[in-house]
Amino acid sequence: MQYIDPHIHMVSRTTDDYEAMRAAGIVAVIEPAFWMGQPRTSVGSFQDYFNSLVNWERFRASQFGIKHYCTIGLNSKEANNEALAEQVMDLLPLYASKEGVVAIGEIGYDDQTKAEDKYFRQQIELAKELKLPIMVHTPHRDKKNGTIKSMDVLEEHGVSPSMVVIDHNNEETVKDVLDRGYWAAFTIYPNTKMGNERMVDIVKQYGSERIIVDSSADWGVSDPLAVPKTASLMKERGVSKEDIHLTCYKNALDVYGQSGQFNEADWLKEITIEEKELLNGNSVLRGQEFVKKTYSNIIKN
Amino acid sequence: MLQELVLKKLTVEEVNWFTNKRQLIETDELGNQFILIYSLVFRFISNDLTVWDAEELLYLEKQYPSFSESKWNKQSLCRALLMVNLPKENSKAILKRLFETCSIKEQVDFYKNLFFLENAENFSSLAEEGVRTNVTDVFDAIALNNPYAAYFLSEEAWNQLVLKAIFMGRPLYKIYNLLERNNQKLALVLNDYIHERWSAGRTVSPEVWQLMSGYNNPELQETLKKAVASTNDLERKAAETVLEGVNPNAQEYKTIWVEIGKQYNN
Repeated sequence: MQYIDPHIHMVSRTTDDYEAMRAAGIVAVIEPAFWMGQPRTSVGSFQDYFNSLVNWERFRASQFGIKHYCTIGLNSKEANNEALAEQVMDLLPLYASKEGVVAIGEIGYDDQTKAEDKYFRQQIELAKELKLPIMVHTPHRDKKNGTIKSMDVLEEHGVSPSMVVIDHNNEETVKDVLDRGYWAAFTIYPNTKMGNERMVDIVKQYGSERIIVDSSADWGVSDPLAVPKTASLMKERGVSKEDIHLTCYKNALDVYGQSGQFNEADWLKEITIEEKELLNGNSVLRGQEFVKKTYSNIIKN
Repeated sequence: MLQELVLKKLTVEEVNWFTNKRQLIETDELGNQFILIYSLVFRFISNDLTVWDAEELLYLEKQYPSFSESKWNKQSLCRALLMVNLPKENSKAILKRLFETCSIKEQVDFYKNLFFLENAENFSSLAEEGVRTNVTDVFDAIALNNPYAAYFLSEEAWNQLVLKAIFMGRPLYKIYNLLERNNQKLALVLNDYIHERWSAGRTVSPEVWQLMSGYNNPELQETLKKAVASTNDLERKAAETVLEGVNPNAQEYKTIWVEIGKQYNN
């Protein structure tokens, strides 16, 4: 089975991860622009980061037979440094217009401050102008209110819910998000957001319509195989093949495909890459071979 | 003339979009429009490959030696037109800014197109920077089937380009004027490289040997003699070809190496 991980921060991951992801069936990833764990102090750092999303990381992924896409945005945490945020906002339209940029994101609220609100709204307008979907990050703290507020603001700006993925949902937020017509993404992230046993229960309860599974794997303790592991667990626990396909591949393709930048044909023609071709002329892999690894399917939280 | 040729290959919608946008660029001295439009080409111009008739090719080859050796799509060529239309007095600063925000494909087009610029020689430091990349497509855009390096890079930078091509396993026969730009300094560095490979129990690409041609240096001669005794067929034949070679700049000698390169890389 083929999978898409529509939210993963590959800049923080190693080549072992890429190998394991491809071996587990991940054919395409979306890397949202985000906070790197430590605040950036100048606009140049943002520019270099955006460059790595449209340039170096794409190349790195391609060496392992994975198609790499990204979303561009100013994350909510760093929106609080307004002097810097203004300069980043000037950069965004250029990067957001580039090939392979499938959404504006991840944007939304962290502390739910005034500054966060200001740049969330400005970026919603940018997405409308560029006709791009929006990936919304929902806060860790005061999650339910932050999620509802995000949807209220999106509606105020007249954005169609079909163009928006509300990410990092849990049992408490999912109903509101689905009822209001949004795509609901779930992050399978050990110890904090969601475990995949809970995810299986959610799919059993809510079905597969507009539900998306992702890993948000980054610099923290996280799991780049969260999507395929969750798919296996769903299978083990009797979820239908069709529901697995929708939640772990097709729904992400449909929502981000609205950008015109996320097409199945891009990877279907490349998946046939022979190992020889993959190893030829590259400068990250040097004569290594793919090693098949096995992992437990359960991600505890 | 380049403009005429390229516009002929576009659809009516593409020509309209392109000419409209070009006017926007003309009124924006800071180059912000240029940078955005250079990027947006992918949305409005198809990436179909261009097909040329003999007369067109003759002209393009004159403008850009080895033009017909690589594939050109409509997006690349529209980006070329945007670049050549920039006013020369601002072009260096604007192209440098463009370069700083390029995605992979945009960088590939940037390097392929540099040679079209009237003031192409002003951009050698950017080309040197590009040679340091590890992204294969970007490196290939500068190094393969592109006359820029042969015309404008210093000997030092040229040698880096060839060495990097060898380390990245790129096909050397596609480097424009590889033998014309060869020099003893590079041959000696390669001599060390060959011994390093041998010490590590590795083979040497047969394409490397041509760069040892035409020098009477005793160290190089010794290495070549050792290679002739090699148990590796490709290595032995390549070393023999160098030792038999008369004039490294003779066309027939170059043709032999292109054939070796094609065999080895395909």
